[in-house]
Amino acid sequence: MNTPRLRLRRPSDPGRVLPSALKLGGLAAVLALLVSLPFLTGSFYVSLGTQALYLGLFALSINLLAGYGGMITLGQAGVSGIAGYGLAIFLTRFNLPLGVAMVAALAVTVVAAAFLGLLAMRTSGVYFLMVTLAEGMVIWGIAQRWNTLTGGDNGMRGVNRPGFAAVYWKYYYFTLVVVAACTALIALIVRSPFGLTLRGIRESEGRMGPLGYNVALHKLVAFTVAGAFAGVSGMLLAMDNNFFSPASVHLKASADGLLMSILGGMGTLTGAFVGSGVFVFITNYVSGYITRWPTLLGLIFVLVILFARDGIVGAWNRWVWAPLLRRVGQAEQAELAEEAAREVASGLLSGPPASVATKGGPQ
Amino acid sequence: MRHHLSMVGIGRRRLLVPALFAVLALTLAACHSPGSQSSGGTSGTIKIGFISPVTGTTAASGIEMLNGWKLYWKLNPNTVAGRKIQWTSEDDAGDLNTGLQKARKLVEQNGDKVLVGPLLANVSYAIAQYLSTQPNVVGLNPVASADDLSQRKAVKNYVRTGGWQSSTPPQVAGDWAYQQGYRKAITLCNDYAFGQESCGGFINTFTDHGGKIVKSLWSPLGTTDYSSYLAQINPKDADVVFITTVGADSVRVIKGWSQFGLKGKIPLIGQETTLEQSLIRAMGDAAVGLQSFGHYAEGRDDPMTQSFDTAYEQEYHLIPSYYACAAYTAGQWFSQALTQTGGDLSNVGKFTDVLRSIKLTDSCLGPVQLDSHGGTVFNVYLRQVAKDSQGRDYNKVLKTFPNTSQFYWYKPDAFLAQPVYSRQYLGQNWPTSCDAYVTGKCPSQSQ
Repeated sequence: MNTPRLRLRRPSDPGRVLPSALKLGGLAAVLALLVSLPFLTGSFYVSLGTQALYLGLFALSINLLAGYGGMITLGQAGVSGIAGYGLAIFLTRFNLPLGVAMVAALAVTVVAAAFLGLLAMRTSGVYFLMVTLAEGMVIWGIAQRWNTLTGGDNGMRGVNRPGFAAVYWKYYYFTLVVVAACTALIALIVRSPFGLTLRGIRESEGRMGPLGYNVALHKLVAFTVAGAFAGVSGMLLAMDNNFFSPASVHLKASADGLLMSILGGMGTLTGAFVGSGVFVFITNYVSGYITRWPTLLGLIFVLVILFARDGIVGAWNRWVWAPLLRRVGQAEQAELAEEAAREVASGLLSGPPASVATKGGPQ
Repeated sequence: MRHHLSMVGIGRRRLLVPALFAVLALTLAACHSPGSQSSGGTSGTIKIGFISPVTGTTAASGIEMLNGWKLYWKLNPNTVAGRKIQWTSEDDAGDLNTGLQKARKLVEQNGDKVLVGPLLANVSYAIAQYLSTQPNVVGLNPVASADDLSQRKAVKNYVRTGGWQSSTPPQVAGDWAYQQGYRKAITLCNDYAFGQESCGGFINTFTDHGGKIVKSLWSPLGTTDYSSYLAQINPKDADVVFITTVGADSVRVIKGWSQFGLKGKIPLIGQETTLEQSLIRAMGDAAVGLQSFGHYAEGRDDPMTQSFDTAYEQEYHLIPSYYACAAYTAGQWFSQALTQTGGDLSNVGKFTDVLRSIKLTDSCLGPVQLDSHGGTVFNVYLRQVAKDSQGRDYNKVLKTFPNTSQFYWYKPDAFLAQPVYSRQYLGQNWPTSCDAYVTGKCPSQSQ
């Protein structure tokens, strides 16, 4: 759909008209497909769609931190798990109504994310990765061992869907609306001055401080906001499965989210959903035909890292979208698209480690 | 500027309008209401979906489970009571969310009316929850041993068929250990639901007699080095050690047991999974002579077990583990129930009642049947690792405890009033009076 860089330039030549029309058409077609999915296919694929949507939101929350802020996290499943468990606990142990339980669980998640962010905000690069990894493992440990609260390894049953969305296809629409609203919010955030500052921090953390930006505060706010969106995705998962367990909080879940995010394309909004779509498709569909499907997933990941660091969306921009624009005589637009893709690749995957090296570690 | 804007507008309209029409058309054309699932009916093919982890950390056991199931349908006709059996298998990778999606796929996409599996307890809870929303699907659970699946959180259409309860063999072990004259015990269990239920079973019956637990050690699942745990076991402190581990942990703890010189100094009692066939293959001499309690023993001197062993060995060139035997038994169990109903799978409620009434006298596990709660009543074997003529480790039977219930010597109601075993509740101070025991079984009265 849109890469934010294209919008920032706001070129006023007539050449912009055709690409944006094409993009809007594409967006409309994708939306049409999403809306009509329950009418096109059976319940299994619709439930896969539901899963791809909330996992996409989860990957997007990681993307907000990693792709826009340069903060690669390995603990996001822990944050989303606080919401999932919060919802399950408020529903089954306190017998709160669903709406109240959701608001309460989200509030707890935001507070917890702010606390976890406080612990992590002064670090960057690999140190940030390690702190978030530890945080995620602590939350997983609590989920696994505090049997009386969380049910331990056996998980918690009885997380019911909203009454109006109990049937699978109604739940799909419910998820679609919630995820679309969250994505729109995130799109606003990354285009806001706050989002631009985040990108500045990603590009060069060391320069943003002397320029007068409170880097730590920006990171804390980003972590909290991303945590809230991860929380929404955790609750959607809990209600989809009617169940929540430590498996959804585990490091593997965090790593899967990061993988989806990188696969689709860091620093893009659509990338997270493309990544989650591919992930869900391989895990649930291809695995029926190929026994070694985790290897296939790994292979795709390796190929993406080797040949398209900017992910599937980046590869699309460079190899399909830009040549297409050139063909219709939109050379300038094509260059913009290529530049956006390049920037994402270099900004994320080589940016933060370099800045760590020059600074010599966390303060 | 104005000009450009209007052109954008036209571009938008041009593409949006057809797109909206497309949505509308699709909506109207394909207005199929999601129909309710039907049951397995009375004739035609019966489709069965089998879920086990054939990738991931539990892949080795998951593959044996699948092999046992395959073997049953290889040795037996795939038409039962006039109905053709057609099965497909799916991989849950040992992951809960994947397992749940696979169950959905098999039921909702393939239209399978029978679901078999999985291996891991936490995956089975998720599938149990799913099955409770699919009343027209029959669930068979041959392996996942979580206690509450036949105790406090049982689901009507999810039936143990060749399965077991984690705490059942250890409850026998605790009673037996005290009767051997052991008074002080150290426990070492993997720190998650299965390990906690196992340790709980042992501690509950051992302390009923007045036995003391002098130390409880808990190792996280996937502990790579057991030296810090084994170093805390001093043979002078206790009379016996009870160990519950799974997978690679078992290999590490048993090898360490030998290397630390504990073997021969203090008796070890293992849970079924600690000295399981698929694991003792990798233990070599370290395992020989060690004892454990389980519901399956590959060396059981019985025609059914032996013929199963031979058939499995011919096919896969390995001595079968309990995962294989349990999945094989599930095939046997289902076929018998289907024969009894004359191929009728139209009423799932009635069919699960028949499943629950099956008594298999000739399974590779030994005689098995279900109690009124859905828990398997089976033989518990005291097993000892020995070497066969080819020098391979196997479990032989030292003693059989026939028809053991999941409630052991407790009254079911009193037992179920307690929570499931966990780190917070290991049955150490329960029961407080003889009322909780089946008449005549109270250990303090019989002494």
